[in-house]
Amino acid sequence: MRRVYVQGIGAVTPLGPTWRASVVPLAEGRSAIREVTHFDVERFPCRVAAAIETDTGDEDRRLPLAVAAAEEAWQEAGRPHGRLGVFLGAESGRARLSTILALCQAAGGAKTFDHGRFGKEARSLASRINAAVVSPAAVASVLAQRFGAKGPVETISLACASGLAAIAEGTRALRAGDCEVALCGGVGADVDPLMLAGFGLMGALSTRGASCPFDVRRDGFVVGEGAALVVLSVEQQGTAVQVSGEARTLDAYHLTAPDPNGEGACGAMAGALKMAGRDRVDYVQAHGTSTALNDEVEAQAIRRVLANTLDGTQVSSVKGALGHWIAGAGAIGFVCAVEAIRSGTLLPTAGLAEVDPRCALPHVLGHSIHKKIDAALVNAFAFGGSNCSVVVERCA
Amino acid sequence: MTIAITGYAWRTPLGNTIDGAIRRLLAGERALQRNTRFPIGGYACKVAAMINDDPAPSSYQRFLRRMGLYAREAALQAYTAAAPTVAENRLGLFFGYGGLRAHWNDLMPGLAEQRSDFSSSWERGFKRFHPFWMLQNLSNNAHAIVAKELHARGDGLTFGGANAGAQALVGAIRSLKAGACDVACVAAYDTLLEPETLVEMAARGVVATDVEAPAAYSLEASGFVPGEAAAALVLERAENAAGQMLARIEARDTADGSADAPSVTTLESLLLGFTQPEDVIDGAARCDRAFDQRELAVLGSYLPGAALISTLGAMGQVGAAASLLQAIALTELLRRGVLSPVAALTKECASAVRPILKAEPTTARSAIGLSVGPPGLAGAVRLQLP
Repeated sequence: MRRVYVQGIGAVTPLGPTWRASVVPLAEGRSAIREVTHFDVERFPCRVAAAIETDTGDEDRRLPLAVAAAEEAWQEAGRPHGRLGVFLGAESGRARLSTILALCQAAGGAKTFDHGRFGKEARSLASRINAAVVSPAAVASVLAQRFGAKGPVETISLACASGLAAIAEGTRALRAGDCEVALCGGVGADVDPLMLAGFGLMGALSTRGASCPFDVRRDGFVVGEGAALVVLSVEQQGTAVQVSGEARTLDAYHLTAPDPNGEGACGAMAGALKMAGRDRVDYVQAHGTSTALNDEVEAQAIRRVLANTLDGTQVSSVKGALGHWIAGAGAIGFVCAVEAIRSGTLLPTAGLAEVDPRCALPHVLGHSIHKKIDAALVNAFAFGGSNCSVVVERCA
Repeated sequence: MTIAITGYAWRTPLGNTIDGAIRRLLAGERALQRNTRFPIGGYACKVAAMINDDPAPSSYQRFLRRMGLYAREAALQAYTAAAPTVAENRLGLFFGYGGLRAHWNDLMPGLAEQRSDFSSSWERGFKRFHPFWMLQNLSNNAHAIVAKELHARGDGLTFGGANAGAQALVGAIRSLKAGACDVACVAAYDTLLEPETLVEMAARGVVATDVEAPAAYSLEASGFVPGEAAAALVLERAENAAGQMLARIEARDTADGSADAPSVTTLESLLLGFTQPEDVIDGAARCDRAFDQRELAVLGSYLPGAALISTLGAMGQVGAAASLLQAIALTELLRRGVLSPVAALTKECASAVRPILKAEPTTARSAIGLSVGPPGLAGAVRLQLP
């Protein structure tokens, strides 16, 4: 099996414009979660988020985040050569609310859609209906152009598991020889009224306004946004970290709730560990969304899979600090795991103060821990029961 | 390692059965009709390639919109046709969808009373969205529901974009070759028949506007017919498929950031090392004179003199579903030993390939299908009879 190495990492987060700038406040246990101020959230079920408040001037807020993160990773990787593939976790983009409202008004502005009016009046708005904004694949396509990809260019839209599943797919493509270098990761830019309303109506968001994975007080996730990209390669070139295992499973259980027995989560973790030839890791970057059921099921699954090796493991979730990036979530988790191996910095779970006994794990609390890490496991579990786990480890 | 197709099903503008749609394809029919999906009078683009039957009633209508329901039907039907023997945790599920659609009837009640600055937006309407609104628009909702129905607990992904069907095929084939699953059910669905999409495409001049629209690859081509489709394939490693192998399949995907169709260079890169001298070609059929000529030049450089057919010229541009439609149509045509004509094309265009003008017998045993879509996306499939 071909080995796959991590050549570069990059991220734009609500705590910093680069991964290097973000890791310091993350290590201090700081949280980016704040009251949303760039739009009116009065009476929304959840009024906080981990937002990146930039006015990009164009319609697609995903793009500048992904490009900046990719540039950081690409620079760190030393602008690698070889047939490049792009594997990005991304959901559909959205036009600006002002455009959506204008289209609504073109359709009569009432509670039903007037096609007779829309067909005529929306013509003047056509230039604002940009297919490149709405397409899930728009960001990957632009990254392919910018970095000169000649290999596969793929967009994984797998809800909360998109970013990590994209890294797993890039790894698999490298092993298969479909490309020699892979730009992989995920982007989420969902701090907008429609997303906060939609997730809020579902009952998925924290009404307390707190992201505190595995805490007894957790009551839902907090939306965050950002991008995390990594450069993977089949060439080692002195790098310290490799991807040694990846696995994906499906719960086949429910559209939103995880299988309470955690079979899918266990299967993904066990599969990734088996592929890596390991029965233990030193660190787990958990999915840890701060929702009641997901955290409990994941904690049970981690205990079950790592079993008697768990005592030597540390567990944390970056969502306590950065919120839930949806399509980008697993990718920033992957970056945290690579950081743990490179620098020995195990980031804490911000917001976690009183561990739920049902979520008992060797959590990293308060601020970062520093220790030598040889292997780490990253989890991402999605609405719809899609699970992905990846093992990264120190190169021999 | 060779990957085999062992079953398939589709929902297309030429019909929902394999035999029925292939018969119409061979007859040279084009699924071009006045759009009756909604009142079309005010729109510049009044034509469509529509699936004319509604999805079967389903308890999943609470969660899936129309195209997702078609995808579910196709996936279940394809899986039943293939009837593989596989453990639940070795069954993979790979979906491709075009992307989020507005579903205006859901949105309007939440938008109608909004102010331009969206102040008090919750009280002014957002609270009126259905609690399932997010689930109905979840990218992987059809994937999740089909996983539950098939008890698919193995590998799985949903891909997004106008070439997501090709991406899903690539992902499934990669998974099978890596040993991550033993059977892969691949489904893709998309529609271009959305109000804002039709307005945008008409403004760019890329769609046909009336039922007299010239054919793909004609010198008068002036825009494609916007369509919709869902399709599904079941794939297995050839050594496991035994007598059920319908065809061998390979797939590729790529993108280059172009605003609409990808560049010639991208098509060349996509097809490099992919074609074989005896391949039949199923073209992308953008019905854009300039692009069509560039496409034919690239295809001709790899496959001079090859026969050209056009599934998408007959069924319309169907976005993410394109590669799966091509895979099914090409398998059927090769197995039947006959090539379908490029629908409505009456005379050959000057090119290095040979458009089929009337259904003709063939001894070809392999074919490629090429599809493209915005922004700069391309997919390719290659089918070979066993």
